[in-house]
Amino acid sequence: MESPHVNREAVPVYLGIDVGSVTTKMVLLAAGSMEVLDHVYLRTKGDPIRSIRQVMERIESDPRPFQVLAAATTGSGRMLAAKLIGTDLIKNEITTHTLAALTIAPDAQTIIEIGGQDSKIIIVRDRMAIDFNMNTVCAAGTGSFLDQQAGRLGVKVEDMGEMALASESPASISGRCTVFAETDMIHKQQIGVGRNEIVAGLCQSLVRNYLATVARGKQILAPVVFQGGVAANKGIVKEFERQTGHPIEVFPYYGVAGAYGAAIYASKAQGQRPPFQGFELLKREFAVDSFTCRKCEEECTVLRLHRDAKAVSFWNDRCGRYSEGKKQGQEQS
Amino acid sequence: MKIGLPVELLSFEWVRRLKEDVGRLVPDVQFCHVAAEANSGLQTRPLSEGDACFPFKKMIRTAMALLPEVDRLLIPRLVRLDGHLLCPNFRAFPDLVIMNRDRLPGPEKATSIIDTVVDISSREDEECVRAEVLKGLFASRLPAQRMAFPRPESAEAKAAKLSAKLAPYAKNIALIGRAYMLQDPHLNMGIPEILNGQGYGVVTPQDLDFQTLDQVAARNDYYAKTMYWRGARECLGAFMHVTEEMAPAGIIYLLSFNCGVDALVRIELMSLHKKLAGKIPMMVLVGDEHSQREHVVTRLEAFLDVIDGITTR
Repeated sequence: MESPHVNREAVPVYLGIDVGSVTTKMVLLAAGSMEVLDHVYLRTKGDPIRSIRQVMERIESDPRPFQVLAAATTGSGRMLAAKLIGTDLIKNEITTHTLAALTIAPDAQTIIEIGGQDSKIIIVRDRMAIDFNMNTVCAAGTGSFLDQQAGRLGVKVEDMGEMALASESPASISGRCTVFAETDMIHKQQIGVGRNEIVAGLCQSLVRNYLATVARGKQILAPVVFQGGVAANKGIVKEFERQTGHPIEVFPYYGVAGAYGAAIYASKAQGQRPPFQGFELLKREFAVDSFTCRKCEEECTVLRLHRDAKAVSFWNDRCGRYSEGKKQGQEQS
Repeated sequence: MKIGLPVELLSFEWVRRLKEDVGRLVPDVQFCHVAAEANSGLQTRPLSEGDACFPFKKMIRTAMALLPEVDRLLIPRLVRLDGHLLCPNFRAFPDLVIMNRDRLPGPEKATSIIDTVVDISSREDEECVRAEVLKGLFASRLPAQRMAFPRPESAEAKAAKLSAKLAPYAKNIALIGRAYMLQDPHLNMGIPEILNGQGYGVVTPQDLDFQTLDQVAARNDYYAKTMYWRGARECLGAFMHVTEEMAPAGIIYLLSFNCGVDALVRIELMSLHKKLAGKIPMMVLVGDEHSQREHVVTRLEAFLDVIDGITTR
């Protein structure tokens, strides 16, 4: 089959990939204009290598031949993603979300981000992030929570926003923890409360939980930008407006904002970069495994990347024994 | 004689001096601070630990694991040091270890536990407690106490050490928290080494002279908000001292649990931080048995980006 790229001039781009716990996002920015040429939002499904491969397939199958000038990764799977595509531009999701929000809304003073399992607030003043907070051990205020409850109610998570907006008297649902929320929901269903009311109550409780455990009294000032997959839910947006007293702005690309920020970060990188190897993913076999190093009491879980059944990279060791080759021999147990 | 002294207790400067003193007076004594791996089963079996923070639970497990390996287990009942109260859990620490020891089936049940009450506000108190500890450890062959109990390190010596520690770094971060958190790489999740790796020196309250911190904290004492807990005074004094005297690039407050005392310190530090009007970025990190190192690394990276103002470049 003929390549879709024959006789076409390569389009120089910056690539951002955000590998989250639930979804993987990609954004391609045109060098120069910084226009979004392509973006994708797909479920990680517990297999980040597969989802990153899907991203690379999408880029390669585009009729426009792209030349990746620089690529950056973010999200909880950023290290793995960076190893797979061969980049040293790795940035935490707080910074990439800030870069994305400030590119679209330079005057933003508060950034709310709610993803699959993480939620965060970033306080910005004078175009600079000055404070932030992330959820800790509780996922009650995140997208996974909504997913789970949508399943229990037998509704699509995508429909929850409209359902919440249709409710006139939201049910009172505990948002402190998913277990209690579920108990409340079962009780409300049993006594005959309507699904729209329950969904609206869930939106209220999620926002209440977020403000109590993530925002924790930080000063929320407008303009407030809302990013992350949960920003698609209009019921949550309305609740944020009601509970904070500020209009909430949801911009295009809110769902891929982390990847967008990563692409912006890549565009700002100076100096020589290692060669982009993302398309290698489509030609070779990659796998990742882990082992526990018992060389000291830290007992790090060392992650190891295999290319064509050969270990090519290590990370997650605190001392650098494997990742930086600080000591001879790569013993393992 | 082998004496077990849980490694967590060594975070207290007074305990380190006690160890030094015993070692001087009875040279053939051997201290063990952590158990050999063979006994790690004692660290993982279900124990009665009370409703306490992670560092406290860890300390109980260390003490339990030491039992089969030592002749005496020295776990002083810490009530007060430098004239200030310690977390009340430390008073109950020997009781919890004794209760768990008595449930053990093996010979470790017979290991004697020295749980001398430590209530120190003066040099005289130090000498009295020392005498009691020695009596407990060496009842039949009590050593002559020819030398005075070791004095704490002077403020000047501490300052010189801190200066040498920070010398390789252009910028510093104040890492504020309890000594037992900051001096244990497992409990502090490697934060000092991560910051060092990113080119930041790390100042902790334990690098500073406690008497100085105590005086600084006293400026904040009034009626209902007097911080009479030693650890709380140390954190409060360190925050005030570093922000006034050292201009750190950032401040991290690391705690393990929002217990009453730490919750109060957290509010107090946040309130003092507000008065700085954002001149120094500050982050609160909670590190307990549920914390993952990856989460801590993400927050530290973002915090360093805030310090570097990376979003404006």
